Amino acid sequence: MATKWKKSKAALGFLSFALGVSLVLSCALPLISRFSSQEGRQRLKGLLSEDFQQTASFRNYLSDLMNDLISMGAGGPLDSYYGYYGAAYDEMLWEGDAITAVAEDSGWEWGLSENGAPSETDRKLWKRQAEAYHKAIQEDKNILYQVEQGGKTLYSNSDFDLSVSLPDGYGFWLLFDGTKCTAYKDGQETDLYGDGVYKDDGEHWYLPGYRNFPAGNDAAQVEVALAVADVPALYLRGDYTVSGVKRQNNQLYWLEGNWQQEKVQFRRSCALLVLGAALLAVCLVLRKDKARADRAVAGVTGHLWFELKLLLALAAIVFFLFPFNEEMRHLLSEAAYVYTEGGSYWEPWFLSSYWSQVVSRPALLLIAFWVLYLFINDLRYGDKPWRHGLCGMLAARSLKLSIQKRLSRRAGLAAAILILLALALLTLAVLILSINQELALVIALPALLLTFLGVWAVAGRSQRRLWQDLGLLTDQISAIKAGDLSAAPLIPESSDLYVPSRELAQIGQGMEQAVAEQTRSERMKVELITNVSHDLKTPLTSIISYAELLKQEHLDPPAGEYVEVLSQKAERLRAMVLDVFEVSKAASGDLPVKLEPLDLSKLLRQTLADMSQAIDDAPVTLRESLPETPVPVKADGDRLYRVFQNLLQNALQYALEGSRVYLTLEVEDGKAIASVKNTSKTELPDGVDFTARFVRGDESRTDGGSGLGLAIAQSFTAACGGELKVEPVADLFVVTVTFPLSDEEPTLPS
Amino acid sequence: MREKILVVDDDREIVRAIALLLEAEGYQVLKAYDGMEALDLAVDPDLRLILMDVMMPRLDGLSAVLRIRERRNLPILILSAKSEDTDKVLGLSMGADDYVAKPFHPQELMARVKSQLRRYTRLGDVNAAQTSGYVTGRLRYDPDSRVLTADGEPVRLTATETGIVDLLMRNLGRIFPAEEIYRRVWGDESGYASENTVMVHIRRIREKIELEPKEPEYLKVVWGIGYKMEKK
Repeated sequence: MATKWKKSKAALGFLSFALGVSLVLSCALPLISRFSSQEGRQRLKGLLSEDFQQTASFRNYLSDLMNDLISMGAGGPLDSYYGYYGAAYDEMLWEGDAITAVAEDSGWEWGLSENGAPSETDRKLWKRQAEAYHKAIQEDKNILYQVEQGGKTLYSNSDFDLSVSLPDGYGFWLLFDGTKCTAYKDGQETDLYGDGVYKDDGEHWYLPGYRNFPAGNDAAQVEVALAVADVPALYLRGDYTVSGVKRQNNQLYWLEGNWQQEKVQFRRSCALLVLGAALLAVCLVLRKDKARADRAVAGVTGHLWFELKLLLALAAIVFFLFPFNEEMRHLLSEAAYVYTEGGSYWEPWFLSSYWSQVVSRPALLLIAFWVLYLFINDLRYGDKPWRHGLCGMLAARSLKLSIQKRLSRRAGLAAAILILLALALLTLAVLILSINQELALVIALPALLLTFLGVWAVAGRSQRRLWQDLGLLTDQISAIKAGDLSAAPLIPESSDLYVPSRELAQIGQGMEQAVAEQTRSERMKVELITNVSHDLKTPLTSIISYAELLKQEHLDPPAGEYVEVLSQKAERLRAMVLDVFEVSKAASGDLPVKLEPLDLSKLLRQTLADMSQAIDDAPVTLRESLPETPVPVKADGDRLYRVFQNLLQNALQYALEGSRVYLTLEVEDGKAIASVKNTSKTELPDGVDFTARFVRGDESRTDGGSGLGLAIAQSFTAACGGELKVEPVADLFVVTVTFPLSDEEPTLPS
Repeated sequence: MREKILVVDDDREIVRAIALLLEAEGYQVLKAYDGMEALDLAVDPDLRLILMDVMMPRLDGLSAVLRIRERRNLPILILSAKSEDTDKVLGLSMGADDYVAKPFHPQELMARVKSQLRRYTRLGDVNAAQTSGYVTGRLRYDPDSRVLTADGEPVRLTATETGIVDLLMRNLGRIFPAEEIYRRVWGDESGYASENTVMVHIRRIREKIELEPKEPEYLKVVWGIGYKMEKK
């Protein structure tokens, strides 16, 4: 639970960091770059104001229009951006240098210009221009205009006399009286000139009437009236089918629309910026958890080649520096100019102005940021990230075995060659492509393809060889596992895998020797025991026989009693010799067992019935608790009988007089658990393994069993696949015998 | 006439002890101390039985048994300090009639000797009557007269014991759970406390028919399953 919470906290920290940084970068930087210039500040001001008519773009547009209309009234040229390029574009006739611009701010006094007095041709051209412009914009009823010269109306797109009053729906009124302009907004006069000196700071109306921008003599007879609609509407639609685009018409409507749109965007950007900042604050709170996430991310990026990461990071740095540092850009472009034969130089594509625009886009910025972030993160938290890569492969320093180094180097070399070849061919292809495309297709592409195929074939052959050898090695391992310990190495000596294969064969041979050795020693052990027991049995036979013969002599006491003692002890010795023999055989794993399904409950009952005489004679009471239902186990019946016979004998023999011996059988978790419990006559010693051979509870005891009863019981139980445990608790001697339940029911062979 | 028995063992003290024990039972004893001597003495036409040790110098017991078997048809008992089952099987397959593991009880040895001699001397009439009744090793049961004979001697059994013997002898080798024996012999369907009751009778029957009741050859407990009469 705790680790889950920890994990989700780390994820939360990292997520807030990623989102916050992305939002801040994608909103803040474009905002800064957009509004940092003077013009940008004006735009920002415009966006912050609620009224479009207060914006710089409105002022500039209306100023230009007024200038054009004054010029039209005075019979001069149209030199504003809109008038010159826009309106005239579609319909005017281009006549080369015939249209000459006049110096800005010089007013309408052509006669005084350096070019001398305008010719008649100029005047005609200007007239045609003016008419074309009037024709183009007259349908745009967002602005109603009226141009008069000497009281005579030259151009007007309204039936209304605009010099007197305004029609409904038109709140902004701009008037030119020959020397100065006057503006009214919703009936209120607004100040146009300020301190009367024009400054190109975006704050001023670019209209004649300033001290440093007088109207001039040619405009003295001109009167212009403009009315601007409160809500601009779309009057003109571009007719794309006839002749190009009427792009600059209906200007006010589009300007206002753009302003609205930009305002929405600006607000959204600001909101996102605030959100990003909030997320960064969250990340600051969770910075420890974020560090954990960083470590995890470094683990993932650690799988990439270091060279690739380095390349990406360098690219990101270059991208980062470009748009913001003119000096850097200059330096780089100086360094990067490629001089061609003709002496002209070729500017690298990434230095073009187009690219600096592209770089200022948030998506690219984000990509560059994340590449750098991941790279630095990798360096900070990664586990020696430079080791993993092409150079790491070639150096192969972290690898221990010579074969690993060799393989790593080979793979690295192949990759390096492939990359270099690909780069060389790509450059070649680009060069050829830039000179002659057909030639490129004919030469470069097939060459590229052929090289790839060649490298593939060469690299592939050595790979295939390795795969084959791996298969052979696997076969060898399988053979050894299957028991063929002397399996010979199958791999030829020239192979990389020859050494491991040979060593594997040596291991196999070593194991074979060890197994043979062990088998021999086991056999020797059993033979030794057999021989010893045989050597014991022969004299014992004589002892027993002569004791019997002595008994038949019916000797007088006390000799007769002595004979009796001899006879008894000889009998015990015989039992012991037989027990030693059996327990030794069981311990060496040489005990033949015949595992058959049988009913453990029944076996215990039979054992009790078989021992009923001994149980009745013992000075203790036996309490049994055996299930009525069969308890099927798989074991050797004869051996298992010996197990319980020994355990019960033990219990009867060592139990405190008058106490109770408990025999229980329970089924639990797929196991049959039989236990024999008795209260010991004597204190049980601590830390004694009762199942060890010749161990008895009472060290000084000289009468009774051979000390092998529990050892026999334990070895027999183990040989049948069960488990015997002795767990004395204070004076309570507890032996449990556990067998896995068998799913086979005992059968009754007929 | 006293029956002649050949005792072969490389341990002279054992040969002497066995000889004394046998003579006390009224037998005449020939002594040999290795396989070759045994072969020389085995030609005695009055010889009725041979007790043969396995591990002996010059010629081992099993080879001697093989050689004697080529000429003589008489009971041979193997005496061996090897008590492995495989040794027992090997000895019996070589032509021995019985196998006694050292160290043995003198009483057990005597019982086996007597049993073999009885079977051997009565072989003639036993062979003639062999067609009727159920036979396993030394035991024969006549279902008509409900009489069990061991080595040709009738065994005195109680009615219940006869019932059990009747059931087991008729189905030699088949294992009967105590409940079934109890049901079929006592006619009691409850089967309550059958194990103890049946076991008591089994033990009594063993004492009457087995040479070594503690290591029964015929009436066996199949632990965890039931009881059976071994088929030999």
